[in-house]
Amino acid sequence: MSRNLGILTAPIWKENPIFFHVLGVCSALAVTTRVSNALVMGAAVMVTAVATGGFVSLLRPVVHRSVRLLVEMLVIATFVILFDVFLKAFAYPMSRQLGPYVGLIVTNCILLGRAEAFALKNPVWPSMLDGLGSGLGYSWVLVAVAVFREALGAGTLLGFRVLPDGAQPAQAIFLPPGAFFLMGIFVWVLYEVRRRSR
Amino acid sequence: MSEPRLPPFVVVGIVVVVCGSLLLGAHLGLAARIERNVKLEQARILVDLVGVRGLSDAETLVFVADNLREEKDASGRVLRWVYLRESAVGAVLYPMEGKGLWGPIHGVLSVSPDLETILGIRVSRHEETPGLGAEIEAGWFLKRFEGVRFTHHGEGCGPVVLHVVKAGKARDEWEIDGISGATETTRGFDRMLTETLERVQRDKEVAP
Amino acid sequence: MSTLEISPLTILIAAIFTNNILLSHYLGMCSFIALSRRLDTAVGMGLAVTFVSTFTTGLNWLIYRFVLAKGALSWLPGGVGDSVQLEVFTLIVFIAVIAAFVQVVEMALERYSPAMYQALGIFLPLITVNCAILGVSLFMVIRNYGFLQSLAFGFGSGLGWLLAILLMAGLRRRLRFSTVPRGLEGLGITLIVTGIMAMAFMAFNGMVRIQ
Repeated sequence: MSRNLGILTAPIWKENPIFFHVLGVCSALAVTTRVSNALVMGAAVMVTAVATGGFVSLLRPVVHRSVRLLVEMLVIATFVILFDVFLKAFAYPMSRQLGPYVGLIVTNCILLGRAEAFALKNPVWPSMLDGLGSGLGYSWVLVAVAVFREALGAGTLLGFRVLPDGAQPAQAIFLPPGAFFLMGIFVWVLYEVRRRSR
Repeated sequence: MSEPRLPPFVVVGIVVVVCGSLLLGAHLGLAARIERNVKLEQARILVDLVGVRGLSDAETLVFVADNLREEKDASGRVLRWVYLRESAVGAVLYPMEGKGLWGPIHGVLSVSPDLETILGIRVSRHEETPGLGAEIEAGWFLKRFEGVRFTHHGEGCGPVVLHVVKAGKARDEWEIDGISGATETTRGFDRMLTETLERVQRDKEVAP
Repeated sequence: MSTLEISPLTILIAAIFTNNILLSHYLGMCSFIALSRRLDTAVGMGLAVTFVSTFTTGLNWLIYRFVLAKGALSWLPGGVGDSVQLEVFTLIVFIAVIAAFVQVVEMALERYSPAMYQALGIFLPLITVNCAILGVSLFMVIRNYGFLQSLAFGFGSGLGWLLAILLMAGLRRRLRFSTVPRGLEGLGITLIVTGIMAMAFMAFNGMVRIQ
């Protein structure tokens, strides 16, 4: 049990995919202009990571090494499209806002990376936990960055105004340089925290 | 780890079939819903433009079907929607298409029944820069067009004189401030609006 | 809809400078950060991305237009095509085309040009999961580009990515000799320098006029 717990929690901080493996940075920058976008995107990666983890692990005994990449890509793409279709059907405005970035989860290295490194070698249940952990590790970073960007850039959080009246939001934070700077500073803080805690 | 006994291509074939049927199933099951969402997006804009608030999704679709007469050209493109309020024309709505800095801009323009005054504008799709060009869809910007005339009074079918100019450069009632920091988007928006207003002018010549 | 046609040349220039796939759409960050440490790997990867992005965008456009898009199969005789809807498979087909193309190029290079294979070979497999390539194909569908526009977009995006990673590799060579706060080393400083680069590239904004 404690081993499973470790699998679940490691990617959240110690082995965080975004910060310490530099995986999935693209979407972390692209969809963090609004907290709501980050939440949905995080959920998307979490759901698809759990599903692919489980599925790839399930196929483990029958998949030959030579075709494993092909099979992994197929499985990942299927679940990403499924999520996209459901989003279009049940949260259309959100799907419009995220644009191509939901589809681009296919190339999010977190999914393929975890499938290769973990699901191919482990049973179904731990693989799903590993997917959930990676998804959580990715999501909290996304949401945390989005909190800063939305609060500073639009003066709101989830659409509610948080800046005091009269304070002018700095819209530059929505522009690409703002995204890179904020992410850079975020990485700095986290690396320092990790270094000190050792 | 022992090598699996099934040949690889059989496994791939099975995975393809399973994934394919999953996708097809989801698509067939949800296609109608997605199509309705697309329609609803358009309908919400139309309903919002004619000033009706607080309708549910289903009511919105019914309202548009009942109160807005869609007029198409031979190739099936929508030319305009005529809003009928208590059996009189309440407004005429025109679809707008233009291009911004990054990609196409889509919107709807609403003008008064005499085709003289802009009642409102909504932007439905664009790819502009968040925080800058993307503000073309924001209420504070689009409010500037409400109740604005676009031809000199009394000239009837004269040229469109209304223009969107660089932010802060509007000199008179025929010029409207654009968005600062988004010159190209402002320019694209102005071209789109002018083209649409010229269509309105042509309609005015045909049916006064 | 001739008024909406943006010329391929405009798209090409925009994709390199004002609308750089990496600096304004954040695509291809993973390999950008990993491979910009050395100049030679940066050049290799940049060239490989340009090559693959140009051709897969063209291929994907043809497949989307004549097989996948709504009503695309209407060229089939007897109205069979009208009832088939394959749009839901778009993403899976795009990624499969990219993966297959990369595989074919790799084999061809190995067979006919060992020198090129030596230089680019190791980067090719990485490209399948480079989101810039898939991103270009997806943006092309969303923006409704024509064939020539798509080719220009694919080529320009590749060149833009090459330009960005080249600049970055050059900068990181210099960075090695400067003292960076310890927590910023690696990922942090790369992100911040990329931000400065993105800012510099924003100065190109007035360059492309929409006519």
